[in-house]
Amino acid sequence: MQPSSLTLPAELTLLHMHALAQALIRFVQSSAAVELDLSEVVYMDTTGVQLLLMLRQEAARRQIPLHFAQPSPAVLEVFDLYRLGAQLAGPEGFAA
Amino acid sequence: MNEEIALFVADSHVQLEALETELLILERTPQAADTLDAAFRSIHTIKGNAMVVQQGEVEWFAHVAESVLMRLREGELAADAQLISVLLACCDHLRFLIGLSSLESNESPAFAEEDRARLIGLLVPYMSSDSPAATAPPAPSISQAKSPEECWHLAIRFAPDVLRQGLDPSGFLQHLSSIGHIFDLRTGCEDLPGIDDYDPERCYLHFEVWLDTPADKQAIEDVFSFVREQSRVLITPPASHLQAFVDSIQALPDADLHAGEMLMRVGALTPAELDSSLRAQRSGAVDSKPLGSILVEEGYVAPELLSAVLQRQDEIKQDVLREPLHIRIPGEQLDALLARLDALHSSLSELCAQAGPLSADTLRPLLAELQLSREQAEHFRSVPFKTLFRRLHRVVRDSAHDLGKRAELQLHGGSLLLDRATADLLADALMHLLRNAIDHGLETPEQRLHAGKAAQGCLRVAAEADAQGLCIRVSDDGAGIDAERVRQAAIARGLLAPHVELDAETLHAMLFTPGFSTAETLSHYSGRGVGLDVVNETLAALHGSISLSSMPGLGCCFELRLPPGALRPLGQSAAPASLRSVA
Repeated sequence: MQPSSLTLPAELTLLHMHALAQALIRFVQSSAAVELDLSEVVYMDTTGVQLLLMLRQEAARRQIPLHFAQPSPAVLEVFDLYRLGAQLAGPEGFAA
Repeated sequence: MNEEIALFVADSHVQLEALETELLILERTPQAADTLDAAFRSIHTIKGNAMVVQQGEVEWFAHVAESVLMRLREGELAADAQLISVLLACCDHLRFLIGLSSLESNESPAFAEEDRARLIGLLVPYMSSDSPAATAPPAPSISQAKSPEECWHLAIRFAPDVLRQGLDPSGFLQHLSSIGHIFDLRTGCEDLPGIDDYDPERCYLHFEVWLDTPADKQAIEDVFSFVREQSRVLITPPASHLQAFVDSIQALPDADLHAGEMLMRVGALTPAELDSSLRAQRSGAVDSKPLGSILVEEGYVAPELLSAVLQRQDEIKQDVLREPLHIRIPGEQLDALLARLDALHSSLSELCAQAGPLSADTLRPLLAELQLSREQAEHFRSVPFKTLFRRLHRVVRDSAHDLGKRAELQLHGGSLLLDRATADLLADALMHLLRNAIDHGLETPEQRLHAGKAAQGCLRVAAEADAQGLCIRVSDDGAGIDAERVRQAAIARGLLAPHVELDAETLHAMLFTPGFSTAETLSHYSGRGVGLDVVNETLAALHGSISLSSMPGLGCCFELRLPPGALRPLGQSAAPASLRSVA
């Protein structure tokens, strides 16, 4: 099954978090398989990291596959700081 | 030790002595402009001299203290008790650093560094934004920890609002990287809620960090200074530090310190942690437990450290504190002595040249001259009684402060000359008696007012010379000795049969028995079984004696008697036998 893919915006920060969280929650709730493309993210703060963690937790609860694809250098840097890279990449690594 | 350093050390001790006296005056009269100027000059002199003899650490630390004193002088700060306490602690640290500079080998530079970091932390609130702390000496190179056990462990829980306030945890983690290497980190996600309860602006993550750093606890805590109020950061030193802290505690200088102060001094406890524990103690939430137990329960210090502190406190009470013996002699006195010795030398040379039979008559004037020279040299070993005054004022100030009492100290007989070694031992005995008087003798201000006395107690130390030698009276206007309480304590310890009445002589003997204490609770000051017996021993070692008289409700007076030798240099009576036999 082809997952529904969504490319996240350049900024995953506090400023836009309310709107972004609502949109992403709806997207995950309405999909049977999800791929979130992180290639265009230029800036991500802790609210962004939390959102990704929460979405993954929700997907696991609903038993639907959720993958993060092509994390940008900015995203990898934050994952690295929080030592979350392996956890968010999943067993097969980040989707290409 | 080379001459420059010796001079620097001697002069700095004089400057520090002056500075300490000035600070104590400032505490009473904060506006005293002359004293502020003098204090500023003292610290400036130390700094300048340190620069000259290339004692960088002393220079730098004096510079920091000077910048605070400058703000005091400019009227930008007020000399409150808290600031004076910090500055007095800076004097202690400078004394320590200056002492280090006189040693060939650096005894414990790591300890000095921890001490310095702690004091800088205390000074920071008093420094202006362009303070010299920004130009602190570079941190030592970062070591490479090989396992998490070698790292500091930080458990960090930010306040839920931290993100909304614009303070991102990643910033603090990056800041941590600037003072050390993040060996490992765990981001805890357990608190993340489900979709329905999710608030995207609330902080749900918490962190565990293993930090490899040479920085001290205060420096690590400072990283979180912006968020200290609502967040909880528990900082645990690496296992190896535990022994280092114990070593540092054992190496603490002989100064009277609270458990909390000692732990802060070695860097095992930060002022903020102490504050929070004191608040917990005061709020009664922890039901008036000793501070030490609270510190351990809150996870701020390991139980081993608390034991080390209690042990060191006992040792300090027994140690004899000796100030370094650097004697400053006025040049003309030394010249006079040298002239006398030169004259002796040439007279003896002449005698040698004549090589005739020697008679007692030729030798007698030479011997008399020699004796005078000895006396003059021995005179250098004597100090006026008033050189002890600073230490006495300090101990009264600190003890009264710590015990919630108010006390004034009157000192008499400052110009009496004492043998330097005797003076040192005597200082300890007097400090002990004054502490004792404040702890056991003086009542609290409320009790005093209730008894119709002035709220402030009066302590008096008066020295005078008489035919029997030296007599020093240490008196207070407190409650006097509670003979019944002493009797009960003596009975409880099996020193006295229950039906026996206590006469004055037995009472006295009881109080000076080793380990005897009437205190019911163990505190920093009393009840530790180290008491008047130490004073008694000191007096015995000086061939003196001590007696006491007490008037219930009116106060107590200790009378210390020392033989005439205490007043004159002790060496004088012990002229070399070989000289005597010639006569």
